Amino acid sequence: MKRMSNKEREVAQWLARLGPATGWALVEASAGAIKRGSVYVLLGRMVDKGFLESEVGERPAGQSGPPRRTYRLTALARRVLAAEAQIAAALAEGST
Amino acid sequence: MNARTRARVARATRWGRVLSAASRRDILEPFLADHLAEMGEAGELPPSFEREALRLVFGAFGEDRRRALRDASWRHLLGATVLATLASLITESPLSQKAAVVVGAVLGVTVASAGRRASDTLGRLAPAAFLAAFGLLAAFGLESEGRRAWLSLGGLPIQPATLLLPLVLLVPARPGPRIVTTVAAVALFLLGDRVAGAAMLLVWAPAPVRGAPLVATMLFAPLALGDALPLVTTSGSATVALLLTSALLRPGDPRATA
Repeated sequence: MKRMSNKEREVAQWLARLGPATGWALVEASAGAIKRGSVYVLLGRMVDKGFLESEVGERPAGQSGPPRRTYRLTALARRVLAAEAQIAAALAEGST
Repeated sequence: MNARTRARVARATRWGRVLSAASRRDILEPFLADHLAEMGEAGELPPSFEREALRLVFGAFGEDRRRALRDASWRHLLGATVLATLASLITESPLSQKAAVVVGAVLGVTVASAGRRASDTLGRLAPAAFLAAFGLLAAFGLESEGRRAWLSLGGLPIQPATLLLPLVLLVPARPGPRIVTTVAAVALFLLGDRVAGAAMLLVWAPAPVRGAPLVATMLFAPLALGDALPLVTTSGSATVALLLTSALLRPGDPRATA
């Protein structure tokens, strides 16, 4: 199973809550818990690992600059998150 | 969005395309697209943009920074330098010295990636180039706060010694070229270009090395340490860079050539 680092898990959890989002949106939504200086590296690494897919959006009328890229969880990432949640729940049950 | 902001966005976009082509397109492109889009709405980039840009690029090397810096390809460093230059250009902050340092890094990386023959030729020419830089600064340098480290090229300020600095890596380890380089270094230091003057003394490093790691540490150490570069900081930067480089390069590394 491919492993998620803590930061990657945080990004994945935010994407699970928000749905497809840009790096900037993740930073804003997490109130700075995900840093602007590192979010794009994390996202790139997660795409490499197969946890995320990305696509380039349409450029809004009147906006200069390149179109923005949005990221979404892959089925693999959802399975990893679900498996980790199951393990955490089982551990919590076992400890009580 | 006013005309000035539009022009800045357009300029940044052009740089962004170059940058994307030169480095990790998958990481840098969304970074720039998001920042530029937000800049379009707010009219300006966040004040921390430069710091984020540098962290982004160093972060792109990987989680293990020591190993990553050692293995960094010249394309990554090129991306880093272009991005840092871009940051200083589009934020219009007083970072011209930093911009010169990173442009110098571009030259350094280019030199580091050049073939052996080209490196040898550049190395032989380096001491003369340092003396020429000193001569040009002494004759035509812009004086600011008692220092002469800048030339005006068509209105664009450039710092010739810093641009030439990476050539230090290629100076042959023979007494003649080293002495000429040292004379130029001291002269440049006295003129006020402390960064270049101190860093050029690396020509006396016991095991002259060439390659991306030294360029990165030598040039980014002063960059990371801030705007004010007093004597102690500059000398300290050069020393730290030398120690870091020695630590980063393994014995037998093909880039650590005597």
